[in-house]
Amino acid sequence: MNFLTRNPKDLLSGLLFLAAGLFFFVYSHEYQLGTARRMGPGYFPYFLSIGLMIIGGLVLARGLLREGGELGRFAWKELTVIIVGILLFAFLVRPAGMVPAVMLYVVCAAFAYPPVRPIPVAITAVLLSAFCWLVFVRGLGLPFPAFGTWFGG
Amino acid sequence: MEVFDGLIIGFGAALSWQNLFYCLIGVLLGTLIGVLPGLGPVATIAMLLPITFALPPLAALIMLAGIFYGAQYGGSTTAILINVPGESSSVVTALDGYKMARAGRAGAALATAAIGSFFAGTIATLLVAAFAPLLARIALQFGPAEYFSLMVLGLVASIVLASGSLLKALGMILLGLLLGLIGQDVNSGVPRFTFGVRELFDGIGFVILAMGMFGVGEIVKNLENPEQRDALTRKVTGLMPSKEDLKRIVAPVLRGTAIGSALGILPGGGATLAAFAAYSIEKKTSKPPEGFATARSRAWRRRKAPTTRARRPPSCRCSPSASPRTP
Repeated sequence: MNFLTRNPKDLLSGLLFLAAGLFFFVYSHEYQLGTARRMGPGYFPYFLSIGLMIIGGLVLARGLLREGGELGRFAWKELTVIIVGILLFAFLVRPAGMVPAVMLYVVCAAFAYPPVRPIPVAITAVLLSAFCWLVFVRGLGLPFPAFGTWFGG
Repeated sequence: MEVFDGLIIGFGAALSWQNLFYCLIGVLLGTLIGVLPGLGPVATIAMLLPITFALPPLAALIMLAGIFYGAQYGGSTTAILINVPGESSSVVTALDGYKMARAGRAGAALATAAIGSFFAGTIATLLVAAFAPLLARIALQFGPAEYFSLMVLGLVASIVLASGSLLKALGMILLGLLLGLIGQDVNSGVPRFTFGVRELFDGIGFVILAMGMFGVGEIVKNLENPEQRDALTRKVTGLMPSKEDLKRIVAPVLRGTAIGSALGILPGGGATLAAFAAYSIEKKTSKPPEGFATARSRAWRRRKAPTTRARRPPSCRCSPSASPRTP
Protein backbone atom coordinates (compact mmCIF):
# COMPACT_ATOMS: atom_id res chain seq x y z
CA MET A 1 0.00 0.00 0.00
CA ASN A 2 1.68 3.21 -1.00
CA PHE A 3 1.34 6.54 0.72
CA LEU A 4 -1.20 7.86 -1.74
CA THR A 5 -3.77 5.20 -1.08
CA ARG A 6 -3.30 4.96 2.65
CA ASN A 7 -5.84 7.60 3.56
CA PRO A 8 -7.27 9.15 0.40
CA LYS A 9 -10.15 10.86 2.22
CA ASP A 10 -7.89 13.00 4.41
CA LEU A 11 -5.44 13.44 1.59
CA LEU A 12 -8.07 14.94 -0.65
CA SER A 13 -9.74 17.08 1.99
CA GLY A 14 -6.32 18.39 3.01
CA LEU A 15 -5.63 19.34 -0.58
CA LEU A 16 -9.04 20.99 -0.89
CA PHE A 17 -8.45 23.08 2.24
CA LEU A 18 -4.99 24.00 1.01
CA ALA A 19 -6.30 25.03 -2.38
CA ALA A 20 -9.10 27.15 -0.90
CA GLY A 21 -6.66 28.72 1.57
CA LEU A 22 -4.17 29.44 -1.19
CA PHE A 23 -6.86 31.03 -3.34
CA PHE A 24 -7.90 33.45 -0.61
CA PHE A 25 -4.27 34.00 0.40
CA VAL A 26 -3.25 35.05 -3.10
CA TYR A 27 -6.20 37.34 -3.64
CA SER A 28 -6.09 38.91 -0.19
CA HIS A 29 -2.88 40.63 -1.33
CA GLU A 30 -4.98 42.82 -3.57
CA TYR A 31 -6.44 44.53 -0.53
CA GLN A 32 -4.78 46.76 1.98
CA LEU A 33 -3.53 44.82 4.98
CA GLY A 34 -3.48 47.47 7.66
CA THR A 35 -2.47 46.68 11.23
CA ALA A 36 -4.18 44.75 13.99
CA ARG A 37 -5.22 48.07 15.47
CA ARG A 38 -6.49 49.49 12.20
CA MET A 39 -7.45 46.56 10.06
CA GLY A 40 -7.63 47.07 6.34
CA PRO A 41 -9.93 45.06 4.11
CA GLY A 42 -7.15 42.54 3.52
CA TYR A 43 -6.31 41.83 7.15
CA PHE A 44 -8.98 39.32 8.05
CA PRO A 45 -8.86 37.27 4.83
CA TYR A 46 -5.05 37.22 4.98
CA PHE A 47 -4.83 35.67 8.41
CA LEU A 48 -7.88 33.44 7.97
CA SER A 49 -6.41 32.00 4.80
CA ILE A 50 -3.10 31.32 6.55
CA GLY A 51 -5.04 29.48 9.27
CA LEU A 52 -6.93 27.51 6.65
CA MET A 53 -3.70 26.54 4.90
CA ILE A 54 -2.18 25.38 8.20
CA ILE A 55 -5.21 23.21 8.87
CA GLY A 56 -5.13 21.95 5.31
CA GLY A 57 -1.49 21.02 5.82
CA LEU A 58 -2.27 19.17 9.04
CA VAL A 59 -5.10 17.23 7.43
CA LEU A 60 -2.86 16.46 4.48
CA ALA A 61 -0.09 15.26 6.79
CA ARG A 62 -2.54 13.02 8.57
CA GLY A 63 -3.68 11.75 5.21
CA LEU A 64 -0.13 10.79 4.32
CA LEU A 65 0.85 9.25 7.64
CA ARG A 66 -2.17 7.57 9.10
CA GLU A 67 -4.44 4.90 7.74
CA GLY A 68 -7.94 6.04 7.04
CA GLY A 69 -11.20 5.67 5.22
CA GLU A 70 -11.50 4.82 1.58
CA LEU A 71 -13.08 7.03 -1.00
CA GLY A 72 -16.55 6.23 -2.22
CA ARG A 73 -17.48 6.27 -5.85
CA PHE A 74 -17.49 9.71 -7.43
CA ALA A 75 -20.88 10.41 -8.91
CA TRP A 76 -19.46 12.57 -11.66
CA LYS A 77 -22.25 11.99 -14.10
CA GLU A 78 -25.02 12.69 -11.60
CA LEU A 79 -23.24 15.76 -10.27
CA THR A 80 -22.76 17.16 -13.76
CA VAL A 81 -26.34 16.53 -14.80
CA ILE A 82 -27.77 18.18 -11.69
CA ILE A 83 -25.52 21.22 -11.89
CA VAL A 84 -25.99 21.68 -15.62
CA GLY A 85 -29.73 21.51 -15.02
CA ILE A 86 -29.54 24.25 -12.39
CA LEU A 87 -27.41 26.43 -14.67
CA LEU A 88 -29.80 25.94 -17.58
CA PHE A 89 -32.68 26.94 -15.35
CA ALA A 90 -30.84 30.02 -14.14
CA PHE A 91 -30.04 31.19 -17.64
CA LEU A 92 -33.42 30.34 -19.13
CA VAL A 93 -35.83 31.51 -16.47
CA ARG A 94 -35.78 35.13 -17.64
CA PRO A 95 -35.63 34.87 -21.42
CA ALA A 96 -37.72 31.70 -21.80
CA GLY A 97 -39.94 32.03 -18.76
CA MET A 98 -40.77 29.96 -15.71
CA VAL A 99 -42.78 27.19 -17.38
CA PRO A 100 -40.30 26.13 -20.09
CA ALA A 101 -37.35 26.47 -17.67
CA VAL A 102 -38.93 24.20 -15.06
CA MET A 103 -39.93 21.67 -17.74
CA LEU A 104 -36.42 21.56 -19.13
CA TYR A 105 -34.98 21.20 -15.67
CA VAL A 106 -37.21 18.23 -14.88
CA VAL A 107 -36.22 16.52 -18.11
CA CYS A 108 -32.57 17.25 -17.43
CA ALA A 109 -32.72 15.99 -13.85
CA ALA A 110 -34.38 12.77 -15.00
CA PHE A 111 -31.16 11.81 -16.76
CA ALA A 112 -29.39 11.72 -13.41
CA TYR A 113 -31.23 8.54 -12.47
CA PRO A 114 -31.63 6.25 -15.42
CA PRO A 115 -33.54 4.57 -16.90
CA VAL A 116 -35.40 7.62 -18.17
CA ARG A 117 -39.11 6.85 -18.47
CA PRO A 118 -40.65 9.43 -20.82
CA ILE A 119 -44.24 9.34 -19.61
CA PRO A 120 -43.68 9.89 -15.86
CA VAL A 121 -41.08 12.51 -16.72
CA ALA A 122 -43.53 14.36 -18.96
CA ILE A 123 -46.24 14.22 -16.31
CA THR A 124 -43.84 15.50 -13.64
CA ALA A 125 -42.65 18.29 -15.91
CA VAL A 126 -46.18 19.49 -16.64
CA LEU A 127 -47.39 19.26 -13.05
CA LEU A 128 -44.30 20.82 -11.54
CA SER A 129 -44.19 23.72 -13.96
CA ALA A 130 -47.89 24.35 -13.37
CA PHE A 131 -47.28 24.24 -9.63
CA CYS A 132 -44.32 26.62 -9.83
CA TRP A 133 -46.23 28.99 -12.03
CA LEU A 134 -49.22 28.99 -9.69
CA VAL A 135 -47.20 29.42 -6.51
CA PHE A 136 -44.35 31.66 -7.55
CA VAL A 137 -45.71 33.71 -10.43
CA ARG A 138 -49.43 33.94 -9.70
CA GLY A 139 -49.47 33.48 -5.93
CA LEU A 140 -46.34 35.23 -4.76
CA GLY A 141 -45.90 37.60 -7.66
CA LEU A 142 -42.20 36.92 -8.20
CA PRO A 143 -40.90 38.87 -11.16
CA PHE A 144 -40.63 35.93 -13.56
CA PRO A 145 -42.79 35.61 -16.65
CA ALA A 146 -44.66 32.35 -17.25
CA PHE A 147 -43.43 32.47 -20.85
CA GLY A 148 -40.59 34.82 -21.62
CA THR A 149 -39.69 36.96 -24.58
CA TRP A 150 -38.62 33.91 -26.56
CA PHE A 151 -42.22 32.79 -26.63
CA GLY A 152 -43.67 36.21 -27.19
CA GLY A 153 -44.41 36.76 -23.46
CA MET B 1 -49.05 45.14 37.83
CA GLU B 2 -48.93 47.19 34.70
CA VAL B 3 -47.67 44.21 32.74
CA PHE B 4 -50.91 42.32 33.33
CA ASP B 5 -53.03 45.37 32.64
CA GLY B 6 -51.22 45.73 29.37
CA LEU B 7 -51.66 42.08 28.55
CA ILE B 8 -55.37 42.25 29.30
CA ILE B 9 -55.83 45.24 27.04
CA GLY B 10 -53.86 43.43 24.35
CA PHE B 11 -55.92 40.27 24.62
CA GLY B 12 -59.08 42.31 24.61
CA ALA B 13 -58.11 43.87 21.33
CA ALA B 14 -56.65 40.79 19.68
CA LEU B 15 -59.11 38.10 20.75
CA SER B 16 -61.88 38.62 18.26
CA TRP B 17 -63.01 35.89 15.89
CA GLN B 18 -61.94 38.02 13.00
CA ASN B 19 -58.41 38.57 14.28
CA LEU B 20 -57.99 34.92 15.21
CA PHE B 21 -59.14 34.00 11.73
CA TYR B 22 -56.55 36.29 10.17
CA CYS B 23 -53.96 34.73 12.43
CA LEU B 24 -55.00 31.26 11.26
CA ILE B 25 -54.79 32.31 7.62
CA GLY B 26 -51.39 33.86 8.28
CA VAL B 27 -50.00 30.74 9.94
CA LEU B 28 -51.40 28.56 7.19
CA LEU B 29 -49.92 30.66 4.39
CA GLY B 30 -46.65 31.09 6.28
CA THR B 31 -46.26 27.36 6.81
CA LEU B 32 -47.19 26.57 3.21
CA ILE B 33 -44.57 28.93 1.86
CA GLY B 34 -42.01 28.28 4.57
CA VAL B 35 -42.12 24.61 3.60
CA LEU B 36 -40.79 25.41 0.14
CA PRO B 37 -37.08 24.74 0.37
CA GLY B 38 -34.97 27.86 0.53
CA LEU B 39 -37.72 30.26 1.55
CA GLY B 40 -37.19 31.35 5.13
CA PRO B 41 -39.37 33.60 7.29
CA VAL B 42 -37.88 36.83 6.02
CA ALA B 43 -38.51 36.02 2.38
CA THR B 44 -42.00 34.76 3.21
CA ILE B 45 -42.94 37.95 5.06
CA ALA B 46 -41.58 40.05 2.24
CA MET B 47 -43.65 38.19 -0.33
CA LEU B 48 -46.86 38.06 1.68
CA LEU B 49 -46.69 41.65 2.87
CA PRO B 50 -48.94 42.95 0.08
CA ILE B 51 -51.89 40.79 1.09
CA THR B 52 -52.03 42.50 4.47
CA PHE B 53 -52.29 45.98 3.01
CA ALA B 54 -56.03 45.84 2.77
CA LEU B 55 -56.48 44.93 6.44
CA PRO B 56 -56.79 47.27 9.41
CA PRO B 57 -53.41 47.74 11.16
CA LEU B 58 -54.15 45.46 14.12
CA ALA B 59 -55.37 42.57 11.96
CA ALA B 60 -52.41 43.06 9.65
CA LEU B 61 -49.95 42.86 12.53
CA ILE B 62 -51.62 39.72 13.82
CA MET B 63 -51.59 38.13 10.40
CA LEU B 64 -47.92 38.99 9.86
CA ALA B 65 -47.06 37.50 13.22
CA GLY B 66 -48.90 34.36 12.14
CA ILE B 67 -47.03 34.30 8.85
CA PHE B 68 -43.72 34.68 10.63
CA TYR B 69 -44.32 31.83 13.06
CA GLY B 70 -45.74 29.64 10.35
CA ALA B 71 -42.78 30.22 8.05
CA GLN B 72 -40.28 29.61 10.81
CA TYR B 73 -41.97 26.31 11.64
CA GLY B 74 -42.40 25.37 7.99
CA GLY B 75 -38.63 25.54 7.61
CA SER B 76 -38.21 22.66 10.03
CA THR B 77 -40.24 20.41 7.73
CA THR B 78 -37.81 20.64 4.83
CA ALA B 79 -34.92 20.35 7.27
CA ILE B 80 -36.31 17.08 8.62
CA LEU B 81 -37.64 15.52 5.44
CA ILE B 82 -35.04 16.47 2.85
CA ASN B 83 -32.16 17.87 4.89
CA VAL B 84 -32.41 21.35 3.41
CA PRO B 85 -32.55 24.00 6.14
CA GLY B 86 -34.31 27.13 4.97
CA GLU B 87 -32.39 29.41 7.32
CA SER B 88 -29.41 29.08 9.57
CA SER B 89 -31.48 28.46 12.70
CA SER B 90 -32.91 25.24 11.30
CA VAL B 91 -29.50 23.77 10.49
CA VAL B 92 -29.57 22.09 13.88
CA THR B 93 -33.01 20.69 13.18
CA ALA B 94 -31.63 19.10 10.05
CA LEU B 95 -28.78 17.46 11.98
CA ASP B 96 -30.95 15.05 13.94
CA GLY B 97 -34.35 15.48 12.39
CA TYR B 98 -33.14 14.15 9.07
CA LYS B 99 -31.50 11.17 10.75
CA MET B 100 -34.81 10.42 12.43
CA ALA B 101 -36.59 10.68 9.10
CA ARG B 102 -34.14 8.20 7.59
CA ALA B 103 -34.80 5.87 10.49
CA GLY B 104 -38.49 5.99 9.60
CA ARG B 105 -39.45 8.35 12.41
CA ALA B 106 -40.18 11.42 10.34
CA GLY B 107 -43.62 11.73 11.90
CA ALA B 108 -42.27 11.82 15.43
CA ALA B 109 -39.59 14.33 14.44
CA LEU B 110 -42.13 16.64 12.83
CA ALA B 111 -44.47 16.39 15.79
CA THR B 112 -41.66 17.03 18.26
CA ALA B 113 -40.61 20.10 16.32
CA ALA B 114 -44.18 21.38 16.31
CA ILE B 115 -44.77 20.76 20.01
CA GLY B 116 -41.44 22.25 20.99
CA SER B 117 -41.91 25.30 18.79
CA PHE B 118 -45.40 25.90 20.10
CA PHE B 119 -44.46 25.52 23.75
CA ALA B 120 -41.30 27.59 23.60
CA GLY B 121 -42.89 30.20 21.36
CA THR B 122 -45.76 30.68 23.81
CA ILE B 123 -43.62 30.76 26.93
CA ALA B 124 -40.99 32.99 25.37
CA THR B 125 -43.59 35.48 24.18
CA LEU B 126 -45.00 35.68 27.71
CA LEU B 127 -41.52 36.05 29.17
CA VAL B 128 -40.64 38.78 26.75
CA ALA B 129 -43.86 40.62 27.44
CA ALA B 130 -43.28 40.42 31.18
CA PHE B 131 -39.64 41.39 31.22
CA ALA B 132 -39.41 43.56 28.14
CA PRO B 133 -38.23 46.76 29.83
CA LEU B 134 -35.61 44.94 31.85
CA LEU B 135 -34.47 42.84 28.89
CA ALA B 136 -34.19 45.89 26.69
CA ARG B 137 -31.84 47.49 29.17
CA ILE B 138 -29.59 44.44 29.27
CA ALA B 139 -29.60 44.12 25.50
CA LEU B 140 -28.63 47.75 25.08
CA GLN B 141 -25.56 47.24 27.21
CA PHE B 142 -24.23 44.72 24.74
CA GLY B 143 -21.20 46.25 23.12
CA PRO B 144 -18.72 45.08 20.52
CA ALA B 145 -16.77 43.03 23.07
CA GLU B 146 -19.88 41.10 24.11
CA TYR B 147 -20.88 40.47 20.52
CA PHE B 148 -17.42 39.27 19.71
CA SER B 149 -17.49 36.81 22.61
CA LEU B 150 -20.91 35.60 21.53
CA MET B 151 -19.71 34.99 18.02
CA VAL B 152 -16.70 33.08 19.29
CA LEU B 153 -19.08 31.06 21.44
CA GLY B 154 -21.19 30.30 18.39
CA LEU B 155 -18.21 29.20 16.34
CA VAL B 156 -16.82 27.06 19.15
CA ALA B 157 -20.26 25.52 19.61
CA SER B 158 -20.43 24.56 15.98
CA ILE B 159 -17.03 22.89 16.23
CA VAL B 160 -18.13 21.00 19.32
CA LEU B 161 -21.31 19.95 17.56
CA ALA B 162 -19.57 18.61 14.51
CA SER B 163 -19.46 14.88 14.32
CA GLY B 164 -16.26 13.40 12.99
CA SER B 165 -12.86 15.01 12.62
CA LEU B 166 -12.25 18.07 14.80
CA LEU B 167 -9.55 19.33 12.48
CA LYS B 168 -11.87 19.27 9.50
CA ALA B 169 -14.58 21.03 11.48
CA LEU B 170 -12.10 23.79 12.27
CA GLY B 171 -11.11 23.98 8.62
CA MET B 172 -14.72 24.28 7.53
CA ILE B 173 -15.32 27.07 10.05
CA LEU B 174 -12.40 29.00 8.59
CA LEU B 175 -13.58 28.30 5.07
CA GLY B 176 -17.07 29.47 6.02
CA LEU B 177 -15.68 32.68 7.48
CA LEU B 178 -13.70 33.25 4.31
CA LEU B 179 -16.77 32.67 2.16
CA GLY B 180 -18.58 35.14 4.38
CA LEU B 181 -15.97 37.77 3.52
CA ILE B 182 -17.02 37.78 -0.10
CA GLY B 183 -18.79 41.00 -0.89
CA GLN B 184 -18.41 44.56 0.24
CA ASP B 185 -16.28 45.08 3.34
CA VAL B 186 -18.42 46.78 5.98
CA ASN B 187 -15.57 48.86 7.35
CA SER B 188 -13.81 50.13 4.28
CA GLY B 189 -16.41 49.66 1.59
CA VAL B 190 -13.93 47.79 -0.57
CA PRO B 191 -15.55 44.93 -2.48
CA ARG B 192 -13.62 41.76 -1.61
CA PHE B 193 -13.29 38.68 -3.81
CA THR B 194 -16.04 39.82 -6.14
CA PHE B 195 -13.89 39.90 -9.30
CA GLY B 196 -16.10 42.55 -10.74
CA VAL B 197 -19.21 40.37 -10.59
CA ARG B 198 -21.97 42.71 -9.50
CA GLU B 199 -24.08 39.92 -8.03
CA LEU B 200 -21.33 39.11 -5.53
CA PHE B 201 -21.21 42.57 -3.96
CA ASP B 202 -23.89 41.62 -1.48
CA GLY B 203 -22.05 38.47 -0.52
CA ILE B 204 -23.19 34.89 -0.85
CA GLY B 205 -26.60 34.38 0.69
CA PHE B 206 -27.17 31.73 3.32
CA VAL B 207 -29.99 30.11 1.41
CA ILE B 208 -27.87 29.75 -1.70
CA LEU B 209 -24.99 28.23 0.22
CA ALA B 210 -27.30 25.89 2.13
CA MET B 211 -28.99 24.84 -1.10
CA GLY B 212 -25.63 23.99 -2.65
CA MET B 213 -24.04 22.31 0.35
CA PHE B 214 -27.04 20.49 1.79
CA GLY B 215 -29.49 20.34 -1.10
CA VAL B 216 -27.35 19.44 -4.08
CA GLY B 217 -25.00 17.44 -1.87
CA GLU B 218 -27.88 15.40 -0.52
CA ILE B 219 -29.34 14.78 -3.97
CA VAL B 220 -26.05 13.55 -5.38
CA LYS B 221 -25.39 11.42 -2.32
CA ASN B 222 -28.80 9.80 -2.72
CA LEU B 223 -28.05 9.11 -6.36
CA GLU B 224 -24.79 7.42 -5.41
CA ASN B 225 -26.60 4.91 -3.23
CA PRO B 226 -29.97 4.49 -4.85
CA GLU B 227 -31.02 1.72 -2.47
CA GLN B 228 -30.97 4.05 0.55
CA ARG B 229 -33.08 6.86 -0.72
CA ASP B 230 -36.34 6.22 0.94
CA ALA B 231 -36.75 8.95 3.56
CA LEU B 232 -38.36 11.17 0.97
CA THR B 233 -40.63 8.67 -0.63
CA ARG B 234 -41.69 6.76 2.45
CA LYS B 235 -45.05 7.69 3.85
CA VAL B 236 -44.92 9.82 6.97
CA THR B 237 -46.68 7.90 9.69
CA GLY B 238 -47.00 8.04 13.43
CA LEU B 239 -47.35 11.78 13.67
CA MET B 240 -48.57 11.53 17.23
CA PRO B 241 -45.62 10.93 19.52
CA SER B 242 -46.03 8.12 22.01
CA LYS B 243 -46.39 8.75 25.73
CA GLU B 244 -42.82 7.71 26.19
CA ASP B 245 -41.70 10.19 23.54
CA LEU B 246 -43.59 12.96 25.27
CA LYS B 247 -42.01 12.11 28.58
CA ARG B 248 -38.59 12.26 27.02
CA ILE B 249 -39.01 15.63 25.41
CA VAL B 250 -40.29 17.47 28.48
CA ALA B 251 -36.90 18.28 29.99
CA PRO B 252 -35.18 19.20 26.72
CA VAL B 253 -38.06 21.45 25.72
CA LEU B 254 -37.88 23.23 29.09
CA ARG B 255 -34.11 23.64 28.84
CA GLY B 256 -34.41 24.81 25.25
CA THR B 257 -37.04 27.35 26.19
CA ALA B 258 -34.83 28.75 28.93
CA ILE B 259 -31.77 28.98 26.68
CA GLY B 260 -33.76 30.43 23.85
CA SER B 261 -35.36 33.05 26.03
CA ALA B 262 -32.00 34.08 27.46
CA LEU B 263 -30.08 34.20 24.20
CA GLY B 264 -33.01 35.42 22.16
CA ILE B 265 -33.00 38.79 23.86
CA LEU B 266 -29.79 39.77 22.21
CA PRO B 267 -30.35 41.65 19.03
CA GLY B 268 -28.66 40.03 16.07
CA GLY B 269 -27.28 36.83 17.56
CA GLY B 270 -30.70 35.40 17.66
CA ALA B 271 -32.22 32.15 16.72
CA THR B 272 -29.16 30.50 15.25
CA LEU B 273 -26.99 30.92 18.29
CA ALA B 274 -29.76 29.82 20.63
CA ALA B 275 -30.42 26.75 18.52
CA PHE B 276 -26.78 25.74 18.48
CA ALA B 277 -26.29 26.39 22.18
CA ALA B 278 -29.36 24.38 23.13
CA TYR B 279 -28.31 21.54 20.88
CA SER B 280 -24.84 21.31 22.35
CA ILE B 281 -26.31 21.22 25.84
CA GLU B 282 -28.70 18.46 24.84
CA LYS B 283 -25.86 16.57 23.28
CA LYS B 284 -23.98 16.71 26.56
CA THR B 285 -26.86 15.92 28.89
CA SER B 286 -28.58 13.26 26.83
CA LYS B 287 -28.30 9.96 28.67
CA PRO B 288 -26.71 7.84 25.96
CA PRO B 289 -24.41 10.47 24.49
CA GLU B 290 -22.99 8.23 21.82
CA GLY B 291 -26.45 7.26 20.66
CA PHE B 292 -27.72 10.78 20.61
CA ALA B 293 -28.52 10.81 16.97
CA THR B 294 -30.61 7.67 17.08
CA ALA B 295 -31.83 7.54 20.65
CA ARG B 296 -33.19 10.99 20.81
CA SER B 297 -36.65 11.81 20.23
CA ARG B 298 -35.23 14.57 22.25
CA ALA B 299 -36.45 17.95 21.74
CA TRP B 300 -33.58 19.54 20.21
CA ARG B 301 -33.11 22.97 19.36
CA ARG B 302 -36.07 23.92 17.36
CA ARG B 303 -37.96 25.32 20.21
CA LYS B 304 -35.41 27.81 21.16
CA ALA B 305 -35.54 29.42 17.83
CA PRO B 306 -39.13 30.53 18.37
CA THR B 307 -37.98 32.80 21.13
CA THR B 308 -36.18 35.05 18.83
CA ARG B 309 -39.08 34.95 16.55
CA ALA B 310 -41.01 36.53 19.33
CA ARG B 311 -38.67 39.40 19.37
CA ARG B 312 -37.35 39.87 15.93
CA PRO B 313 -40.59 40.44 14.11
CA PRO B 314 -41.73 43.61 15.83
CA SER B 315 -39.06 45.64 14.15
CA CYS B 316 -39.67 44.22 10.72
CA ARG B 317 -43.42 44.19 11.14
CA CYS B 318 -43.91 47.72 12.19
CA SER B 319 -42.07 49.61 9.56
CA PRO B 320 -43.71 48.15 6.48
CA SER B 321 -47.19 47.96 7.90
CA ALA B 322 -47.19 51.48 9.21
CA SER B 323 -46.39 53.46 6.12
CA PRO B 324 -48.23 52.12 3.10
CA ARG B 325 -51.52 51.66 4.88
CA THR B 326 -52.31 55.27 5.59
CA PRO B 327 -54.19 56.18 2.45
